[in-house]
Amino acid sequence: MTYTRDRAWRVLPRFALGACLTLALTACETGELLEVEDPDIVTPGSLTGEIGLSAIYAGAIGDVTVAYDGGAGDGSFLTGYVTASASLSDEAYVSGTFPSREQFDQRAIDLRNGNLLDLFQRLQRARRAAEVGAERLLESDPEDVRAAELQALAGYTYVALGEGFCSGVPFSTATLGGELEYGPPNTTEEVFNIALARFQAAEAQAGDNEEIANLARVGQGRALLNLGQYTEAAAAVAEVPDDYLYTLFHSTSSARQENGFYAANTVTQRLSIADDQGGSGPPFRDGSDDGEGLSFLSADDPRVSFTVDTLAFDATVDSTYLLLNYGAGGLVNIPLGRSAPAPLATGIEARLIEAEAALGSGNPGGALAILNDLRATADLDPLDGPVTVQTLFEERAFWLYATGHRLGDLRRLIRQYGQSPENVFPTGDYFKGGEFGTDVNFPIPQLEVNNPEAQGCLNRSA
Amino acid sequence: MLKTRWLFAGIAAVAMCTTPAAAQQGIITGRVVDATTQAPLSDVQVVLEGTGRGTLTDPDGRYRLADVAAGSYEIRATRIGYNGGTQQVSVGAGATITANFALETSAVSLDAIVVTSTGAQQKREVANAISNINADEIVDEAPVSNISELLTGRAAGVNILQSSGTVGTSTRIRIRGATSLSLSNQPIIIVDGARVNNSSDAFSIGIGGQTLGALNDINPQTIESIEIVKGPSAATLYGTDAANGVIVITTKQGGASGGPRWNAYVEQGLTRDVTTYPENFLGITAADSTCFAAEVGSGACVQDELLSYQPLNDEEVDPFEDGWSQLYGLSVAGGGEGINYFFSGQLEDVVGVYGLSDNAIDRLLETRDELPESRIRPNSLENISLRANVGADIADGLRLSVNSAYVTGETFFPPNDNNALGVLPSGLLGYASKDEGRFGYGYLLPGEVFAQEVVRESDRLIGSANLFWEPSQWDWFTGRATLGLDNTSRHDQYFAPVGQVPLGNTVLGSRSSNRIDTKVYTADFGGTAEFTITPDLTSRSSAGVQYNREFVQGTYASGEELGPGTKSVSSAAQQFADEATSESITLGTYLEQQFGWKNRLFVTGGIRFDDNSAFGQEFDLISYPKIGVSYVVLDEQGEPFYNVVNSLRIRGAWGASGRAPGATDALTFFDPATATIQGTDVPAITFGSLGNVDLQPESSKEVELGLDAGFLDGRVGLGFTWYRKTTSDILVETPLPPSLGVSDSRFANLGSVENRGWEIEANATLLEMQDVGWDFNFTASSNENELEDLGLAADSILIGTNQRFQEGYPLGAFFGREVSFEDLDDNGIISTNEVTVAETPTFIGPAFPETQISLRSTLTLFDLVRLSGLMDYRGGFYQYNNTAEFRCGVQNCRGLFDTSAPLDIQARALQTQIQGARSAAPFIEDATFWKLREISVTLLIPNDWAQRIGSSNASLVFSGRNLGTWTDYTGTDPEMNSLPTTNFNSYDFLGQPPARSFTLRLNLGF
Repeated sequence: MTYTRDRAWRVLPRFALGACLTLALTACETGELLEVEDPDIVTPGSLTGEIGLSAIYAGAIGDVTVAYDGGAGDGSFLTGYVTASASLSDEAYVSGTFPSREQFDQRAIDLRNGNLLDLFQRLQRARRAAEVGAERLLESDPEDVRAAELQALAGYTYVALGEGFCSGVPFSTATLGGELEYGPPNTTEEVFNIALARFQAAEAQAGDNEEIANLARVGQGRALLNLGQYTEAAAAVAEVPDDYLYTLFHSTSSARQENGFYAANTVTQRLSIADDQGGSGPPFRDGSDDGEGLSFLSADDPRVSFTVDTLAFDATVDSTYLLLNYGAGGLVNIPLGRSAPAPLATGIEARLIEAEAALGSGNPGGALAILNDLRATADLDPLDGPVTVQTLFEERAFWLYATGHRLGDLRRLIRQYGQSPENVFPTGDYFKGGEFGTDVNFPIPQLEVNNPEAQGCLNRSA
Repeated sequence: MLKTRWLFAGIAAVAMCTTPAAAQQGIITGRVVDATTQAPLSDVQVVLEGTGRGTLTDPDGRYRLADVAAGSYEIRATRIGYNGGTQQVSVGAGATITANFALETSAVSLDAIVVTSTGAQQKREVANAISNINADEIVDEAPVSNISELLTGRAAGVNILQSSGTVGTSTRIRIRGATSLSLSNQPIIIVDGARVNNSSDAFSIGIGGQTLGALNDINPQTIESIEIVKGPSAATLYGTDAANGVIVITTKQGGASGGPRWNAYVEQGLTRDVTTYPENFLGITAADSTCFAAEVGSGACVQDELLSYQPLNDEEVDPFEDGWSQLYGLSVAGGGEGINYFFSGQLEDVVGVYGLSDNAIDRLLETRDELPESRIRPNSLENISLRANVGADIADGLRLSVNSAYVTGETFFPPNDNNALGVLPSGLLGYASKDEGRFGYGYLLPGEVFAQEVVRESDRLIGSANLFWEPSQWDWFTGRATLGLDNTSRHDQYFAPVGQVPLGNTVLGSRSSNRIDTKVYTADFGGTAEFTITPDLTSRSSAGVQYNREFVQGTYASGEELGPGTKSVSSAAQQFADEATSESITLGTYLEQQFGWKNRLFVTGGIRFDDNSAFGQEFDLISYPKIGVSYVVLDEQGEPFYNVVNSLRIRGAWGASGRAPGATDALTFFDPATATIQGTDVPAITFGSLGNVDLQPESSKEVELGLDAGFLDGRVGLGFTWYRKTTSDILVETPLPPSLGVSDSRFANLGSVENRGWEIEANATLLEMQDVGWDFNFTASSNENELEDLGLAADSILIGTNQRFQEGYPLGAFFGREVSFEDLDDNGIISTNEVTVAETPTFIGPAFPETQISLRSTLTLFDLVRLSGLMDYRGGFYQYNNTAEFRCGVQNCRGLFDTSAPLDIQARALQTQIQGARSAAPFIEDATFWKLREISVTLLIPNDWAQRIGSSNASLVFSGRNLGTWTDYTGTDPEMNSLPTTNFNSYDFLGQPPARSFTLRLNLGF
């Protein structure tokens, strides 16, 4: 077909008009056409009223739970503080295969370790969630006791960061509008002082709610112990009853809510109870001079009750030792399970703090009485005495097994009681090859270099 | 409601120009033959120029165009491999005229019709290189069972990354290299005008690495042709997301040439695992304690025995049985007055290489009455696919084409790769003796692994309605409207029966049941006006509006600790549920103007504007411009240069395209969650993402220059293209310091990536005699990929442990700490002090091939036998042999125990035992390979023989696939990748390598 030029130009304007109209159609109201709904996300603007505050409160507690005692049910093993610190200390060994987890166990942690990043990030997220949640609750009701609980839980995230990580942890903030405020590094002492301030604010905010007040008191005692202020620590926990128990609750409602230790230990068998880990350690760790480390298994102690499974996820591991209970006796005795609540603060810890203060103030008899009173609740034979630092820390190790205290205690033995790292942490040949490293804490992960204020670890000492 | 209103508005925009008209009509009919042999040519495109009307010839070379408005036309016949033919015809009212063609063979045809975003055009008009794959011819004779295999080695610059030999698993496609760090680098796929789901991850349950892709749901037997639009310079008008290229699939439409043509095919195949898996080693002393080679060297122990065994290689206990495939298909095509149709149906039944031996079955049946088929053959695929394409002239100048395909089926596949519940991990990480462990397996026996049922059930409907409007009174105008829908409903399932998978908690039983709906909507309205402004100057103007919406909704349920005899989540003691929704919308409009001069020089300019639901609040429209020039220096009708060059076209194009951010990348939001307060689960939130209100699409700009030439009377054709593609504003998942206590990253538009390279597509008719024909095809391409600027303070981002985005290097390049060694005591054994691991990582190599070469050749003898083959080369890339490293980590690799192992093998094994110093670098190996992908022998059954069985034509094809590999890579296969869905991460880790297959196929035409 051929066309005449006249005919072509006659119809061209009409075509151009059509094209322009087509363009015009898209130039207006496209915003409505492009609107999408995503029911899977919660925008900040929708968190209003009591329903919104309740979700913020619950979310903060959920984040603290995942950061402190979770991190396994969703497959992210050893990213909760309890499991991670258990593997770095002598509480547990890695019965799985992944090198990133073995680095924890072997005390040779690379800054780029993904599990390390998760651990640090979850604690920092929990910290911010608890702090922001407390602020939002107080804005709505200055008397809201839930704010006190979140302030105390924020304090525990600082404690975990202080006990677990090297000196130099920064704390930064981000607004929902996307503005970033980078924090400088804090020494370990500064971290515990911030924690102490959070606990003190929580106790004041708790009013007559003794459960929350005691949560804050035990937290103060723990922070003060880390600061070497034993007498003040004992005073802080004096009002906490023996049977006090604050737990982080778990659930099978979602994988992330599962009890982290149980999921890593029993469900997936990536973590096993250790026994004499580090082989050639000094007597400090088991109170004997047999040249071996602390005997969680062979001590046959009801506070670390276990069973054995002969399958593990690493061909180099013969068996996995599975924890059955938190505690023993009448004060704390919680069977492990996916939904098992995990102790965060207990009257037992309060008494152990008092025992340490008594020992530190030259009253070993008082310390012995406290320890034996506790042992009696679990039908354990009384200690003969005299109570030494090693006795005290062994008692702490068994009473507080799998609750995120052991790593901090090992560091305190070095920092406050003059022990050398080689005498406290597992040393010698590592059972999967090579030797144990020299780490006594977790380093600040590589990704923190994106904080212009950060300097990494100020030092790696205890 | 509002969206629907917009759709109608778009239709109105096109329809506003509609004016009903009546005209008296005639018929054009004819026959097309090979000018040399006079053999009829089927599937020749016969087009009435300027009208958009066209049809295909039938197997006898005949065509028929009915209802042609009276007038004068230019009619053009084109087919790949032949010079186009044109004739001027005049159609009288009620008359039937005949236009026959005799086409000359040609390796290059500038008159071939290609499908562009603005409709069909001649190749000479298009300023870009567009690869065309004539699928209809290939599938009848080559051993291809899916689109990935169809694309492999057949188009320059198109890199199909196979990942596994497991039936049904996904592949990655990269066209002209990767451009995006964070977004998908997959091309978009368009089938009959409608955008379709091209996800490479269409299975929601993690089983270690492999997954299923969406692309292979499309039945290659129904495809007429595939055109590959390679880069932004050509894909501009396809808009946002087209930066990675576009694969345009046209399905068979039938023809308007009369009676129905039936085609049937039957295919039977055999598949075999031909891999020899590495032995598990252990050195022991006389006292039966472990003795490493290094300890032998230092005198710390004396090896009494070196044990080696691999259960995967032991026929008595291995998990392999020969697989098979069956394919049955029937199609009918034809047409009548103003109507054409194509209907087809196919049953596909493929069983992979995993299976229980009779002995294993008998053992299992000792404790139960029956075994499910999925436990006996755990890797299989069964699909039924139906297609119905109908085109009809529904009014004067108005043609409606409705294309629909329905695929239903189920795919079973076994856990493997990074999964201790898989059978290959159990064997490769197992013991050095059949007496140890469980017949040498480290974890589970094959019968226990196969007790796990992993299955995807899928129903998919791909449909499009295309309206072509060619008003008889406005014969300069063509209008197009397409409405498309790709709807997939999946049911992804996992089931581990209680007590039958004895590892970890899985022994208590586990079940996942996920239902996912994916919908892709397309609305595309456009028009083209063609004018002859002067006798030499032509104009082609196009405008259009496109709307694409992708919507994915899934509900996920899983449970652990099942009750006996049940596979329901309802019975699980621990139950989990989740829901996820994703929606993305793109709205775009475009204008394109082309001027032609003497049918030799074509200058095309265009621009597209896009808005997208994922752009940040502060970002509005994005524009993508383009311009291109095509100049035909010499065409087939001209005087050859030096009697050698018969045709020559030079071309150059520049254009832009982009990639939209992810649906929620710009938003700040929390994720819904549950938390347990005082033992009670309550609604909660957890921080989801810190957004970026300024987020905009990635912008890719590309320049390409090339030429197409024909030599020696069209017997040799050459296409050459050079390209340079720069992607700026790349979306970088910028790491945030964790001390912020928010998400670990947020997206920002930073940095730039460059891809540059060349492509050659050459083909030659080496022999064209009465009894012998020999064709040769050669495609080659290079791609140099470089991250020019990351846009961060740091110059690199780690992805995984061994790959990086590092400025100055290819995206995803491998880095590692070099391991060196020296046998200082010259005892032939490497000890710890003889191995040195460098302190800092250095560049090892790219993760994707930088060079590809494919050689295809077809030899036809006496019109009776046709031999074809395809060789494929990939070079300049590395693969991480994580299987080898991990085996050393669990202490069962040869290098740790065998004192006669090569020193480099000893050294790389030994350094895995040096805590704090070990490096993956020695396991990141050059993966360059040559593969004999395909060989086929086709017996063209003489027609008189065929007629004895009632067939008009028949052929019998014997073919083989994956017949040989030549490589220095020490893993099971250099293409093996246990992370097939990730953008860049790549490693070979305990996965199933490609299997070898043979098929016998009978094609019958009626």
